[in-house]
Amino acid sequence: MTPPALAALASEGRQTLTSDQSLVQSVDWAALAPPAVAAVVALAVLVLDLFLEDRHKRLLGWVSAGGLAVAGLAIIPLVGENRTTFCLTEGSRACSYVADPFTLAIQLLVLGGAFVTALLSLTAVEEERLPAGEFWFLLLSSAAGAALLPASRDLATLVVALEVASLPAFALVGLRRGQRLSSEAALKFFLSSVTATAVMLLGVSFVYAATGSMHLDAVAEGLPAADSRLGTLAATGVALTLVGFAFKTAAAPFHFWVPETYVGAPLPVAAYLSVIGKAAGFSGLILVTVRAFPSYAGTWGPALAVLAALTMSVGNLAALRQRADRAHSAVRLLAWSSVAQAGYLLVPIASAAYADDPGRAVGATVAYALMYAVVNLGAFGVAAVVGRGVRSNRITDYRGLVDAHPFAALALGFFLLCLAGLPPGIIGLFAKVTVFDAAVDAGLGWLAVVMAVNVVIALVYYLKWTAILFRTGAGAGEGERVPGEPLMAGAGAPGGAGPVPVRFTVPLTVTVALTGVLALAVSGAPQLILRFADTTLF
Amino acid sequence: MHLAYPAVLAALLFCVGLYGVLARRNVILVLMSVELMLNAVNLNLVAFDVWLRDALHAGQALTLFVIAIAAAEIGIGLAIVLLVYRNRGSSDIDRLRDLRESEGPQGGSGGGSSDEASVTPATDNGPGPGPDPAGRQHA
Amino acid sequence: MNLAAGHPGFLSPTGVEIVFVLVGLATLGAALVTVTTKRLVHAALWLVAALGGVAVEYLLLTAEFIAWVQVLIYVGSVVVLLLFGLMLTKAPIVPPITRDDPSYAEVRAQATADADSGNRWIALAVALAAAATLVTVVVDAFRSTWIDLDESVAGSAKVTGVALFRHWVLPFEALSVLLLAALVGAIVLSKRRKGGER
Repeated sequence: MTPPALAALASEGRQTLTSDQSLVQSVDWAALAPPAVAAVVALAVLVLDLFLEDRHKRLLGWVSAGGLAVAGLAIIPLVGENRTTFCLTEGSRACSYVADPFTLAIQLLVLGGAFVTALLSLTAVEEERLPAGEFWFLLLSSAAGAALLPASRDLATLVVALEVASLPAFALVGLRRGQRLSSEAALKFFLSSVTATAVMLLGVSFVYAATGSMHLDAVAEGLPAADSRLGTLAATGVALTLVGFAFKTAAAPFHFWVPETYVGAPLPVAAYLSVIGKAAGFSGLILVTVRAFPSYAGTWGPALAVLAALTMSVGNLAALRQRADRAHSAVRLLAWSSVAQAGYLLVPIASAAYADDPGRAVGATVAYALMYAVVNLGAFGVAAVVGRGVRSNRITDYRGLVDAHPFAALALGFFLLCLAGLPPGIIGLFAKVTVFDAAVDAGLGWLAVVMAVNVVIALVYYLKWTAILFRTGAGAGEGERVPGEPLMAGAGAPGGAGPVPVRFTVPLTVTVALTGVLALAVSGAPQLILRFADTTLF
Repeated sequence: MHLAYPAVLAALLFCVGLYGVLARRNVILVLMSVELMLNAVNLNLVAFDVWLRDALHAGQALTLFVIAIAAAEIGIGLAIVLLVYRNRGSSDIDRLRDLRESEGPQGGSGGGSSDEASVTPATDNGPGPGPDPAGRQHA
Repeated sequence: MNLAAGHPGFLSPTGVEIVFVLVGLATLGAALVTVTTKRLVHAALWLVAALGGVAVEYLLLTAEFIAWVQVLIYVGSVVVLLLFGLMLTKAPIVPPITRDDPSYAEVRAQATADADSGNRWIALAVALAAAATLVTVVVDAFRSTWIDLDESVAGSAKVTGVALFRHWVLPFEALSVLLLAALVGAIVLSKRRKGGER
């Protein structure tokens, strides 16, 4: 029976302290640097805000971006060593914070993505007169939480890190305080997130009952050895725990909050959620499935496969249905496209259930996520630029962008092609092939077929948007507008008032240029990203 | 004490909270229901911790963390509710329709920022059709 | 026999169970009223009863520190915040008129009108299905498991404190960031906006 066995283990742990044992856990600050630096910079920015006048508030943005860059650079010394900290001082010596390759890869994704978001936000914070100190503090603390999450190796830290990553995001979404859309978006995001957290915590409590521990490794050992009467309880716990992370990754059927939240939030916040929010979700999902519940692979494997198929289909079909002339349709399309991309991200995690080495199988998700992060942030960057000129940010407003500003058009076209997986977006193609391989290797043939079909469907809307960018010489008579026709029906409408005014600012230029250069570099040398799919991450 | 007592009580409290989240229209009542769900989870955790005689007291530690998280969420949640109320004049979930997918070509408000003139609380008896627009899904 | 309150041997095992079940029934009843009553302020007050009931259950399970934290934070501040929220959003409240007043029915109907959404029957079905599932799973798992409450108090302040600061420091510190973020977020969302802000 479990309790007496655990009681025996517990009494073993109550050893007398010798002189070389410490009462508290040791802290390896170097290993902890990435999230810790982000949190410290957050505090510094909040305090600095007190002493700066309004006209100097721009400095806060540069300090935040700089702080995130430093936090990202702090990852470099940790590469190659599996440093751990906050380990138990007795018993199993399990550690709460581990900096293994998986952790470092996701931290790079998160901190790099947050850095690009910070650059993206510099203009928006000023122009929309968002409260600067609070905005940067919330962004940095959310990034700190998202950086802590992949390193957590026990359920308590995992849950807390997930909350630290999400809660500032609720406030960020609602930060355009005068707008109804923004506050509604924040409310819907908040309510659904809180409910998902409650359900997830119920799952965690059941898993705790079945295994007696919260540290992921101990759970992994404890689940197969659990008392036979606790089997159903453990399975229920596993299923419910996955709900919270599936929600954050915006997997169907938990995706409903996405388009509304992205449209209502300030655009850089939408970009942040689409990349770092998802990263938090799927990295938590990987940790609980591969590290904690490998013995239940028969349960979550097929479930995640179905979720992945459903998510990509729902995302792509909804994206197809977007009307090009609807207000904010560009952001809405990017939102649905990100839902579909979440589906692709889930495929290797589902495959890990069938793989011999799950730690390797999830590498495809990490590789794909890195590609997706760069490209998606770039696309949002161009959307931000266009949004400055045209408040409504409809897809029809992008018509002839190549005339107004060829740099923006080329960049956006490249990003869209990467998302679609077509040359010259080579890295998108390779990343999709890697994910595809993962599915096929795991024997999930049907999922591979569904994914292929979805990639083809997605081509439709990506290519149409790209075509709109390069449509020159707009004028009357190019086509009648047919109301009710799905996708881009309004795209050929007459009356587009000439090329859309595009005004870059320095930070936006830097953002789009940086993401463009990164995407190009990675396309030229795909191994930079794809090697994550080959190495053992854990 | 038989472990089933706290466990069943927690399960029932959780489902009562779940009903509240899905059925209540006023946002603050929904928040109360979420608090019930979180309390149910806490009761579970404490009961399991005491049953397991956990040397690390993981259950109690997580309970304290959940209480802190719940307090933080209530703080932010109420601020958001107040914001919605100020911008809209009601804290009624069924009336938050501006962001829905099925809007016509011009959308609900096209991003306009004019506040509503009226700030009377919602008292309409609208039948609240169809699926809840907050889009809350559950496992 | 030591009759000091809080001593684990204060009530016999059967006694503890009986009290637990009774308080549990009261808690459940209060929770049910919270989610079904049409009068918003009453819902908040019944929530106090439910949360207080849970605190008593913690005491019975010898988790004393958590019981007091529950009372302090949940009953003491969360419910107060909820009441503030209800008041500040001008939640409809039945004014103090008597039943004899001719407009009583209408006023009461107006004040209690929008507590429940239209899809509450679906919600009820879902909640009942979830309750059936969870109770079955839980009863099946713990059919013959007993908690041993005779040993030392499992949740005194000292025990909890030692556990937190020896084994759970990282999430504890991360929570400090969370609480600060909640504070800043709540303040910034509630502040009146400055001129010129979109």
